[in-house]
Amino acid sequence: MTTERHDDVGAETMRAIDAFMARLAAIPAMPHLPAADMLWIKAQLLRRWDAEHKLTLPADILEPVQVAALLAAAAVLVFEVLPAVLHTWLPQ
Amino acid sequence: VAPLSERAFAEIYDNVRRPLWSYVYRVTGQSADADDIVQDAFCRLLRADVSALSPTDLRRYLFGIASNLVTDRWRRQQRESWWRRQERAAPHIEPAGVHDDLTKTFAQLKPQERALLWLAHVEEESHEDIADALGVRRGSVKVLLSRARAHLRDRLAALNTRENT
Repeated sequence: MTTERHDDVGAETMRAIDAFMARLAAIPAMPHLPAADMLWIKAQLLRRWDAEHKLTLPADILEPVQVAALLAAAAVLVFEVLPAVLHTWLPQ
Repeated sequence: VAPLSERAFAEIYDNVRRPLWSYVYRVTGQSADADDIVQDAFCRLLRADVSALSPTDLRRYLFGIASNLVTDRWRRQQRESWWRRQERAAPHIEPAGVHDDLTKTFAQLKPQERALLWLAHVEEESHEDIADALGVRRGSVKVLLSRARAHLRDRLAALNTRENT
């Protein structure tokens, strides 16, 4: 992990930036992160959820297809049957 | 998918969480965001097929995920309504006491510039690794980094002028 040190802004500026970044990196800051084992458990739960989601995905995708097919079938039925019904019920 | 073992994860977590958090914190300026993003990055690592990667590659992988998450968060904030963006026009930086000038100066740079400078000067990553982490073309890193350095140089000059007057 070594940075290419292109002298694009001049050596003096580069030194100033290095010094600034070093001072910035040295400022104490406190992360609030869980312990490794807690994160491990969380990741296991997420992985299980992923697996379940993958299993149910085909059903989730097919559901709107089923609804669309049902609506299309209903439309065809109405289109086919409606003239006969109208013919029967409406006065000649 | 071959995830990491618990022991391997604990090792990489102990070694990388603090430098990764520092990177995300300095780029976002928000410790709560850094906490969320670092946790998310490690969770994604555990759900990925990374068991064959070396510790160095795992570290790079984590910095790449975290950079993507930072970018996603920044884009989400950009999409927020106009008035909320106005509220955020002046970046909110958590007070750092005696180090306020340092953090404020750094916060005046664009998020991508902050990420570039941190990866290059603190993490001492190569241009190739920086390009992978930030999702930019390898040939662009030199130009982008040069611009970021020039912007920081200008900010530092302004800071020095203010301190001397």
